Amino acid sequence: MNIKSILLIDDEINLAQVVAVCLESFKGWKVTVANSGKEGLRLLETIKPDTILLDVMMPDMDGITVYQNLQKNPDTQHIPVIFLTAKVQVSDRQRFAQLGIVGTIAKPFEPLKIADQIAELLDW
Amino acid sequence: MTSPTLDSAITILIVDDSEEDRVTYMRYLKSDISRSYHFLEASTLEEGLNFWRSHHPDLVLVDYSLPDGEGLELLEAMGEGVLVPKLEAIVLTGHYGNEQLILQTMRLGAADYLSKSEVTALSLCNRVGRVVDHLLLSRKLQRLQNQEIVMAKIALHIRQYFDLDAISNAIVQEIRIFLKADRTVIYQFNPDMSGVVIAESVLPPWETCLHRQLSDEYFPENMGGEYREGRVFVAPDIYKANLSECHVQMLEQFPTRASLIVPILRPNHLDNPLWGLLCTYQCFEPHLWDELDIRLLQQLSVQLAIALQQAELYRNLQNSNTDLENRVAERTAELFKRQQESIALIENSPNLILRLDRQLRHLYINSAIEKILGIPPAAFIGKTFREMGLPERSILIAEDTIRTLLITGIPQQYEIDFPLSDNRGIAYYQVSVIPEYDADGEIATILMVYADITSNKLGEIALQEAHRRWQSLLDNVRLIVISLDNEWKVEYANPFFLESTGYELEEVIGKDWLSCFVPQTEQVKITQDFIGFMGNPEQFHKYYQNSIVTKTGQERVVSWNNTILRNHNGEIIGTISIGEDITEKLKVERIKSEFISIASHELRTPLSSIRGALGLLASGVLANQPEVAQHMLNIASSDTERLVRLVNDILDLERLESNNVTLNRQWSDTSEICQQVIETMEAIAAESQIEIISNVPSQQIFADRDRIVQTLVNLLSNAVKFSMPHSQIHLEVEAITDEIIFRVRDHGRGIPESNLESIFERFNQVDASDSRQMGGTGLGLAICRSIVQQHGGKIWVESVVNQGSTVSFTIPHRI
Repeated sequence: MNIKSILLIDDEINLAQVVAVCLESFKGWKVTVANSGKEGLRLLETIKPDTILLDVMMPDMDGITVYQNLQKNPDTQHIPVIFLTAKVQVSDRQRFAQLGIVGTIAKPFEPLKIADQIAELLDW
Repeated sequence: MTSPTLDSAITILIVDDSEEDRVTYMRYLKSDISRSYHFLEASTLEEGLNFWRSHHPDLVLVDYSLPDGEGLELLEAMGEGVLVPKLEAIVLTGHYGNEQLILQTMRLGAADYLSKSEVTALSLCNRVGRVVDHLLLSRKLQRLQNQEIVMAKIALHIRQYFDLDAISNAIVQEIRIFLKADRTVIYQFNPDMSGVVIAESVLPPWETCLHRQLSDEYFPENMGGEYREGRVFVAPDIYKANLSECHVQMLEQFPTRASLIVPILRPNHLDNPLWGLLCTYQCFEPHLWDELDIRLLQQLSVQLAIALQQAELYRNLQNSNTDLENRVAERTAELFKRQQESIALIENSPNLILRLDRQLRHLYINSAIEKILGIPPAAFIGKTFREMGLPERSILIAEDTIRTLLITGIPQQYEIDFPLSDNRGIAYYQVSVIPEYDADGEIATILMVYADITSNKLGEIALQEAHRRWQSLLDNVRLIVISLDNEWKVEYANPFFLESTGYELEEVIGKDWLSCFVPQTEQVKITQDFIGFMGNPEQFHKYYQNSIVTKTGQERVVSWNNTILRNHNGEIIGTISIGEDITEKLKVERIKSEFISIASHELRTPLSSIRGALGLLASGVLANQPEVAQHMLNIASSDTERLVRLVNDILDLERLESNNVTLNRQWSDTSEICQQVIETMEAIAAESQIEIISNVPSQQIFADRDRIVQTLVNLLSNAVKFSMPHSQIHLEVEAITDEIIFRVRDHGRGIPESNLESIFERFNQVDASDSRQMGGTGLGLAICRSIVQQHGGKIWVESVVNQGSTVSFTIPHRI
């Protein structure tokens, strides 16, 4: 079983670091953390993760814009994306689903549970 | 009584003692076929005289020499009593050429003489014929003269009498005498063509038939038959007139032998001109009616018809006169009755009624005054209001009004109240002052009627009061009140609506509610709802919420409570709506709910990382990774710190905004305050290599010193966070007339203009992540604003992106 690689893009630095440690410790996945959309896009020029966890509400560049950039790029458009969002209204979920993402995980997420949620969404 | 002759033959009395001569004369005369003679023969003078007296022959042929005397004696008898007689007599004599004899006969009045020797058929016929011609002519003239007399008499009767009966009686009398008839009647038809005899002149011994009803079936059947055409019925002998059996029977009722009947026609009655019949009868003997008699009767019937019309007119006139008199009498009686009723009505009227002369003295006053003032009416007569000591105000108004009335002649009206006797309260009266004129058109007297309107007045006052209260409520209530008509035009808008929207009243009344005051986006829905409601009033939305547009174009959300207005027939005439402006309430609610949503997120984010970090440590997976475990502990610790700050700020802000904090105001010196702030911030600033420059004058300020320090520290720490290393931050204080201005000026990255207002909102930093990255809670500026506002001051920011920002706030010297 090859080791899954994950890119986590979230401006909540502390929470992102806790999540990264959780995923690495419990699942053995390799997690890269970016604290802004721009940083995430820059990292993607060098790494090709198996999935991207993308926070929607971020300063500078929001998650939707990041996702649209990913879709324009042939190198990144095939990478499954999971949104991390505080917007958990049904209408928001439907809107996000139409974008072609894999799923959403409500924020603020539980670091101890998020690994199982990701595995379920991606059939890992 | 004259025996009527059956034909018009001339009766000739021949007096001659020679029978042979008599026969000869008769034969000669009969030979004249142009005439018809009837002969009487006498052979002696005496016999001749007897015949003359008894038979009144038309002509006498007398022999001069008679056995018992001279023929001249007969002439003398004939001309007796006449001064110059003219006799229808021809004297026959044997003495040819005796002039003495001729002279004698002429003097006696004989018409002619003839010598017996000259007598031939021709000569006799000529002589007799000439006399007879003369005789007939003179008789005819006589008759015409008589007729004219009768006509004149009758015309006189008609002019003398207007009474139909008198005229009718006079006419039948004249006619019967003139025609020498036994009976003359006027017969009048009833509308059904039966009839009655209304006037009669009859000779004894014949029975009167006056007022006899005749029911001849002949007349009703043909409506008078040929009589209607003016045809005359002439029967010399009814038994030879070829009459019907029933007609004969009818005529026998009178009885009748000969009859002459002319119709009486009224030419102006076209439907049935036949009024009646003028009938003349010979009762016993046949009678040949003379053509002149017939024509006379016809003329008389015309006269009679004129008389009838005249009489009818007269009768109608009399009837209408009587009618008029009766009516006048009736009216007079009614008038009297009315007058009595009026007097009773006036006397018992609840209204006070009085009449004054021009000097304002009472001529009359009804008994109502006793009930009102307790003074009997009699006490007022001849007195003025003033002499009666009535209330001064009522006297002045009455005098003034009557003065106006006397000048203008126009009836006046006014209202007055005065106290009732025995402390029964105040009564209100509407007073009508009415002029009454004399025959010359001058105002003679003044009528005053005091109508008691107390109950109306009290009702009116109550109504006014109710109305005033409503008006006051509508004017002062802090709710919008709008009334619309059926076409949604504004009929009423209360002052609060005007205040809320900035419109003037005239900009609102009569305007279309939807297009003028409702945002375009909501018009369609409201219109649909309105149409639905008009179709079915049960569906009327009693409660409704929609926005209205103010004069400046702002939208205000209003919660309406609507009521349908109906007229007294129950028809819908419009709506009245009471509305509450809930715009601010909604805004507060929205902010509150957003705050809770954001606050919960902000609180849960550090909580999640604390829980995750501690969960990892607790699970033991990090047992072999002490560095990672330490990192997790640091994160948990840092986020715990953040959580504490956040909870403190939220509670602080909540206390400030709910006014649960009482400021601890005291007099302080601004320089001391700023010194304390700089001391607090110096270390942090130095850490960021930032210099704080302050130039603060010493000013006394009445404020909560700790809160002012908290505000300035907050502002300075923000400035430090957003300033580049080696830059400067300025803290300045300026005292102006009413307040002291504090300024914190940095040279940081600045704030976009669109965010200058919102940075003071809770969690509404320009950049949400900034505060977290800078260690803030996102509530600092909100808390600052709250503190400043608590002091009665203002806070604002001026900024140029990439050049720096200046946050200023004011604290008034006194609140």
